[in-house]
Amino acid sequence: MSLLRIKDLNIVYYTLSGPVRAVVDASLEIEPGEWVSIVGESGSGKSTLVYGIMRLIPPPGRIVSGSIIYKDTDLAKLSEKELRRIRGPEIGMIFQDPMTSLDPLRRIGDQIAEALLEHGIVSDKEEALERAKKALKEVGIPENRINSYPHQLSGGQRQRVLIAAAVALQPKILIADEPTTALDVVVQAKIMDLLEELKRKYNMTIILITHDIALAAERSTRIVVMYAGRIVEDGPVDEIVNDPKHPYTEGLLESTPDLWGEKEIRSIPGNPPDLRNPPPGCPFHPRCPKAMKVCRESFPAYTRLNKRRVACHLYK
Amino acid sequence: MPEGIKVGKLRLSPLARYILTRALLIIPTILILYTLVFIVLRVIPGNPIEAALGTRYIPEELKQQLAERLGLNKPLYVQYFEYLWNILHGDFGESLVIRGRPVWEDLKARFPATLELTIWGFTISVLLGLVTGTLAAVKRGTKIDTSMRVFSIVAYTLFIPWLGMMLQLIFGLWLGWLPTSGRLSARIQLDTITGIYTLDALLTGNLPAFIDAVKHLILPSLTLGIVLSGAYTRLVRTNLSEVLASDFIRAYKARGIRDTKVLRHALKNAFIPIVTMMGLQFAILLGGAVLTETTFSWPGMGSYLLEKVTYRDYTAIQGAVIFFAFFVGLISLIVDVIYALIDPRIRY
Ligand SMILES: Nc1ncnc2c1ncn2[C@@H]1O[C@H](COP(=O)(O)OP(=O)(O)O)[C@@H](O)[C@H]1O
Ligand code: SF4
Ligand SMILES: [Mg+2]
Repeated sequence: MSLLRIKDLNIVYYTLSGPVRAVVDASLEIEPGEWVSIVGESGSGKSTLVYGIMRLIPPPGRIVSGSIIYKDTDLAKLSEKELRRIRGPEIGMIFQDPMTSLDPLRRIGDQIAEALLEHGIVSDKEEALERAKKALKEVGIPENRINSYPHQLSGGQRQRVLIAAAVALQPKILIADEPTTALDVVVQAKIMDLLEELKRKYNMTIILITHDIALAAERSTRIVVMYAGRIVEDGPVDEIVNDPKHPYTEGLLESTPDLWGEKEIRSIPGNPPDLRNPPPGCPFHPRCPKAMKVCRESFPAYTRLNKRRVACHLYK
Repeated sequence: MPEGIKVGKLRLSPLARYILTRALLIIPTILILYTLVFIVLRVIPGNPIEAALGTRYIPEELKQQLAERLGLNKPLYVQYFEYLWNILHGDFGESLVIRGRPVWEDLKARFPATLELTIWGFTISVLLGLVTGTLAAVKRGTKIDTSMRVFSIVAYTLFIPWLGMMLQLIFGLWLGWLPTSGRLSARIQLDTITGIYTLDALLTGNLPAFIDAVKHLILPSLTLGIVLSGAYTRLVRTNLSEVLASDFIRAYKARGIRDTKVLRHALKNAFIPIVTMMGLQFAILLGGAVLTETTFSWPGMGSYLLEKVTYRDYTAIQGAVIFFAFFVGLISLIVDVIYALIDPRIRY
């Protein structure tokens, strides 16, 4: 049985200049132990989708329809109080900007310990701080740093602290929303190594969001490609990377230098659409080199090819 | 941050050095203020003698004698430095209008009244601002938010004497619940220690006096508190909304921390700019106290200043202003230290 089953999820930001359909009819099943990477250009709805899972969509956003089944409960229907038991010990999350994701006024140890106490994982403050020390050590921060304030740490260290705070609660699923985008390349690789190590150690399922398909290809078991709020292709890493079916996935791979070093880098012409007013039919058609007449008329249904699914009129 | 000061071979902790630097800054502030007041007093028409005489006529000769005795015919720069010299020796001089009355005695009698009103007004304004601002931020975009914002705008634009008179009218005249002037009823006995009546009543265990003093305080401090709270409502709303939308709050929520705790952490962060504001507000608060005091016949520094300006009592005015400036400087120093203690990012 799937650990997480998202079905026909729609999330809309009701902005003053009109509704933004950030996630459109998204369905996704995730099995325990997978490392799923969600890729796509900026603005394609990746963050919104995972905020939806956490039920942390910022206003004016709202889940309009659909379900998010986690172990038999529909997260989309839970109250704030019930969600608190999910957030942290069941599904943890780390964020894009480590510089601003820690409370600047509190010691890092206290911030880690607080969550342990909140969920009753330990019962007294001292024990919580002991656990926090261990958690810090595990992510490569010396335990004597427990009394440091966030401003005394570098960006990479802060992301480690945030990982420690999330992993200390031993979540089944860890969501990482572009965890290394704000960091430099060397630190980036180290953080990804750390995530991989912790995943193995605690048998976590990881959902990684990145706009960098090369980064996703390195460690994932599966890649999900999003465009204009929709999932357009989804399948095992090797299938997607070696034989992309959707023209958008192909475009993403061709615009990535690391992977096919010998090939010329070609970025996808044009920009992602304005989600207040996306093009009709397949939203990629204005930029798609293979667009046909039908592409302007209807959004293609998913076609199964092997272990993957793809939404494109080229495949019937 | 200023580098701090090395005092001889003395080694000071960074915080102590910071406090010392900030404390020393009070001196130029007072000097500038004294200079301004000195100039303004000499520039505005009228002088103590004319003010005291009003329309009565006395011969020019007598006027000259009076001026000589009061030191008013000395060159201005002599007057300026003489007064400064005396102040530096802790001598606030004598009133020019009431012969032989030391200004210091007046300040000692009047200042606690202002301080008491200010403390109460300040507390009310901060509490009111905090509650309304937090409500507005947490319920952002709802009717509650709108009503809090309307409250803030109305409070902010209210004129102190007008609000004071309305409250006097309603609670004093019509309902007859509360006194509308003075600090204590005539029938009440109170031994003063600090001159802050509520405190003195508590110190001497005098319950009737305490109740009476509080009753007298309610309307004036409410007037002051309401008008000043408008700014806090807005500041708390803006800051708190911003903090509530920030990444680390989302991170707290992603760890399942309960809302009340998250709000507490958010308030602490939102409080930093508010603490700064409190320091700045204090000067405004004293200005507000002047208006409130006159409306409620409150015998404090505000009404004192107003009285003395009418009489052009140079020494009294200068003394009161310097004393005020010193006090405001002290408060802003305390605020800065609190600020430094709350925010670990501040390096002294
Ligand atoms: N708080 C918000 N208010 C209004 N629109 C938003 C908000 N957050 C995101 N959006 C819009 O939703 C769409 C998807 O954004 P996002 O989920 O952040 O994409 P990604 O993470 O793939 O970059 C974008 O068009 C973005 O402008
Ligand atoms: S559906 Fe048409 S426009 Fe969309 S990706 Fe496929 S070929 Fe291109
Ligand atoms: Mg994003």
